[in-house]
Amino acid sequence: MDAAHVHNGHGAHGHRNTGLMRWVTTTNHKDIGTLYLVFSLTMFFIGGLLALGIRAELFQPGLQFWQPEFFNQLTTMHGLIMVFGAIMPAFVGFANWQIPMMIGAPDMAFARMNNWSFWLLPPAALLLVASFFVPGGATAAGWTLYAPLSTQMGPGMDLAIFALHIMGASSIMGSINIITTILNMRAPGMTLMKMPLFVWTWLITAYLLIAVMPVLAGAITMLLTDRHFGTNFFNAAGGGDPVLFQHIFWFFGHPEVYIMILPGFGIVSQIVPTFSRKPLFGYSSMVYATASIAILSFIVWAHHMFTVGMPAATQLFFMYATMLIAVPTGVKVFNWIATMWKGSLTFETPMLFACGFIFVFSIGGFTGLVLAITPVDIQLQDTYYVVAHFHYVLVAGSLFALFAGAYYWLPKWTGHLYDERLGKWHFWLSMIFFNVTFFPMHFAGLAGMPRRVPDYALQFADFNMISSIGAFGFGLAQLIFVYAIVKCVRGGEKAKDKTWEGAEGLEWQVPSPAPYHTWETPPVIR
Amino acid sequence: MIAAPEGTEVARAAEFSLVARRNNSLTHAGRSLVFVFIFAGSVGIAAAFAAVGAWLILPFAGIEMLALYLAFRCVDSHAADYECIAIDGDTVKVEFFDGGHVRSYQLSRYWAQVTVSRDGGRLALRSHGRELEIGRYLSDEQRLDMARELKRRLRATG
Amino acid sequence: MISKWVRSFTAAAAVLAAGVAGAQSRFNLQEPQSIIARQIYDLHTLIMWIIVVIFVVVFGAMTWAIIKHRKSVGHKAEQFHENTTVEIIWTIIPFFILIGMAYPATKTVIAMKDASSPDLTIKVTGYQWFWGYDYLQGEGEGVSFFSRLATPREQIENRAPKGDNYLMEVDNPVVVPVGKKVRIITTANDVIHSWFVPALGVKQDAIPGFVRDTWFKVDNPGTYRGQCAELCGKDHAFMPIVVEAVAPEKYAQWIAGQKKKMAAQADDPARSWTLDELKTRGEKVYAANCVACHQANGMGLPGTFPALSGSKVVNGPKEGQINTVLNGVVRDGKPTAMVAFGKQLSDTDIAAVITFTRNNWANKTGQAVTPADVKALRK
Repeated sequence: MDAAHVHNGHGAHGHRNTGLMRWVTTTNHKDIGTLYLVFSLTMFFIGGLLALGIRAELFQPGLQFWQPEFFNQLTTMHGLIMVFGAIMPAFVGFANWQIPMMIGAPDMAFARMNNWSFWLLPPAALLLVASFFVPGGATAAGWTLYAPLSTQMGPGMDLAIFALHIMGASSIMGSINIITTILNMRAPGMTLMKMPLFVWTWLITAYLLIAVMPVLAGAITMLLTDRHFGTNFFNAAGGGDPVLFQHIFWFFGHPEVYIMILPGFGIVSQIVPTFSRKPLFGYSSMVYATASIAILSFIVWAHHMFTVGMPAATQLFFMYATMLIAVPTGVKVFNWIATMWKGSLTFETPMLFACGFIFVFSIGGFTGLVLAITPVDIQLQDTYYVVAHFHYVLVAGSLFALFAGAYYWLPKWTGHLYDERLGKWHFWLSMIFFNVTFFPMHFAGLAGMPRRVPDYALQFADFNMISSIGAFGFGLAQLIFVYAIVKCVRGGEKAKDKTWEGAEGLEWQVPSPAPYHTWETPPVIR
Repeated sequence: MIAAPEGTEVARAAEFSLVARRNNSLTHAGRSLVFVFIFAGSVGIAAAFAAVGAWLILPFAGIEMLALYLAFRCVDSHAADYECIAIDGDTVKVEFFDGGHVRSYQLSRYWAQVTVSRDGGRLALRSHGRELEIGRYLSDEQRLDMARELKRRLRATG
Repeated sequence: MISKWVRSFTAAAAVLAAGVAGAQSRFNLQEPQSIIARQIYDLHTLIMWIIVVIFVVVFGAMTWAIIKHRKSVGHKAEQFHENTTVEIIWTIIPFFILIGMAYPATKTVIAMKDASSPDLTIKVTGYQWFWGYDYLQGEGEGVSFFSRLATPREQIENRAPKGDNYLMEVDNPVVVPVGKKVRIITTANDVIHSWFVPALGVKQDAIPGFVRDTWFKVDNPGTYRGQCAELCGKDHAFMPIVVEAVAPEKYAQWIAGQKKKMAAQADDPARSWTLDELKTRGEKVYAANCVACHQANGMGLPGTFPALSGSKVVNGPKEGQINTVLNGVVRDGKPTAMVAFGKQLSDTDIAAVITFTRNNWANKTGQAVTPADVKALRK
């Protein structure tokens, strides 16, 4: 009865490949988390390089570096790479590392599928970057890929569509995995309302992803068939409707915006109580606020398209729905501040980034409220005001939350404390240059400067010059981040298991660095 | 988890038995509910778009729901996995339930030996040169406890 | 010393007040010139003040906590959390503030949408990359023209100093009478454009195959400039909009002049053209319509826009080239960047530009294409 040996090497004690093959074949959630994070950091720098290309051209009026066609490729690819290559995979990386540790599960529910969902990403990224080198260059239709402009594009557009399909498949597999892990693999006693907020926000995010990714896949497939197979979904001459594309795109696009910010809310909600040495003020109201934001995200999409012309009643509905989002978002901000209130605050780098997040994200939230007002939106739609607004929520929001999370958990991941001095430099330079870059854009937009232009009228010149200087400063400041990570991975002061005095949660009960396998048998939460 | 004997026939009949189950924080009903909730959302959205002419979203939603269904079914089929050890008279019965398949073994009570690694990482029953790993759903301490208990019970006469 | 402080403070306050009072500020929306723009401006000011107040209160509290509740000043953490009363208050209060904002906004939305009973209706058509205007109804009915960027290429390519209205100047501005309700109907020829004039509070997407409308009534005579606001391809940044608002009498004069010009533009079809006359006229047409893609040296942009110099089409039979210019290039049933010029240009202009390209750069066909040739191939 040799079958009796069948369970040898089951699960935990299997052998590990070494070298490159370890990373290709790994099914370990921590390895995969690392892969996601390294991938997204790489894409962040590629996207950043494109942004600097944009800002270089806009440093002065007139065409200095690029032809308009190439400039449009830069703005488009900057958007696509940052959204799908940098921000989303970075949050998935955090989810992989942290969710199993935080709920007391040994790994993700589907370890093999987890490996696939990561390894789909590099080929997709390669397709995106390679599209610059095909005849006609990359797609220049903007990251929103509006038809019928996108049907005019060259083969670069097709490569982008394939890349998005692959990334979408990866996201769907990732979300199924995360939902199953969170729902089915919580340790005994870890009830839903005891889960850390980072886990909660990811559960909701994963649901949003599952709900809207097929919509994106459908939209770009219809573009593809319109381009090559004679369908007329969006071609007015053939009886289609170009505005339908915008409805579909933004039905995906608005939840997508929250997909990129909700896990950031989660990270900040872990960090603020830790460094305030005080429990989160309103745990359940935070959960309900996150859920409300997610639900509202399905009924506000048309606020991206007030200028396409729709009946007054429709405009009013979307205006009211959009304004409502301010309520749960306000609840979140008030909760963070109430958590800090009468705490015992210290300001290590994660807390600096978390406070920076609350402060600067709120500015983005406020301009969001300005843009929610339909008449004002019609004035500001497609101007630099919108560019300023979404960079305040995406860079100062998502990106700062990611930085905060990285500094917060790096000691757990590497076993070493990062260099606090480098972290503080990184924060202050990022914070200052971020505002230098994006604050003047509000003024350019108010004065009427359209977005996605390689050249502009003279009255916008000084705002653009300041923005460009800030952008290069911001870009350079990110090199400090890379240096701080490398330094932390290679060595440094030994981190305690519970790195931060005020930290709560299961991840601080395992050693630092977290061993390859954690919580093989679930802890019991009381 | 060491649970009281329940469900399995082997366990019910025996004079002493241990059943270990895997950790599931979601019940079967919970999984069905979650699936129905997600399915209604995704297919509802896709159907609404199909109604206004954008029918190409529907197949993607379908593929996605199929993937979700397969994933949940996979979880479901392993949800009931258990290990059962029962001592009855002269025999030790070991039963593994894994993804819907039952494998059961019978060992002689007098030949069966309990082996356990020092840290409790691995626990097995040995008899006639073959080994059955048991206690896969237990923690290290629980395995050590179980080893002690089994050794005591095997020696005791029925 | 103190007086210097006081003086700079008053100066700063004056700048702020100017922004608030509505005088043209560089840090605010453009000075509104229509009822709607004025309402938008006031809405924006109202919301900004609400936001500033909330900002000060909320971040005042945060700053206070950051300064006073630090561990380094010896503050001990209090472990309070969950307070239903507080949580209900901070959910309800924002809700009422939102209602206060929504009320005036709703009125403006309804006013903006009311484009009924206009004095003048103008159809605006977006092309890649210029605007076409047709006066459909009201005084000046029948006037029709195209409006293109007037900034010379030399300024864009930094070979000449930039003028005051760099990128915001056109050859033919839209002229409207002040104090009259002007209804704008937008549509597009190729992709989505957006007709945007900030000072008039108007932004309306122009969508191919569909018509949308908006309206404005200009308060004061003046020149109001805007740009295309929806990414529409390569020269999205180079298709400005200039609206000249004039007194009704001057408007009537302009209409009369415009009608005369249109009559004169209709060239005598019997006129015979020499090769050189056609070339001279063709060079102008080329500079206005073709140079952005095919470039001044006729070499195009490799991979994107084909070269004309040495091109097989240009050096081949004239019928082929005339067809290309008239009907554009269609690939796989979809229009390409080479759009149909048949509707935009007259027979003479098309004949001239074709003659120019066939006798310029490396192309030396020595052949003149006449307006009659073009007319013969029009469908």
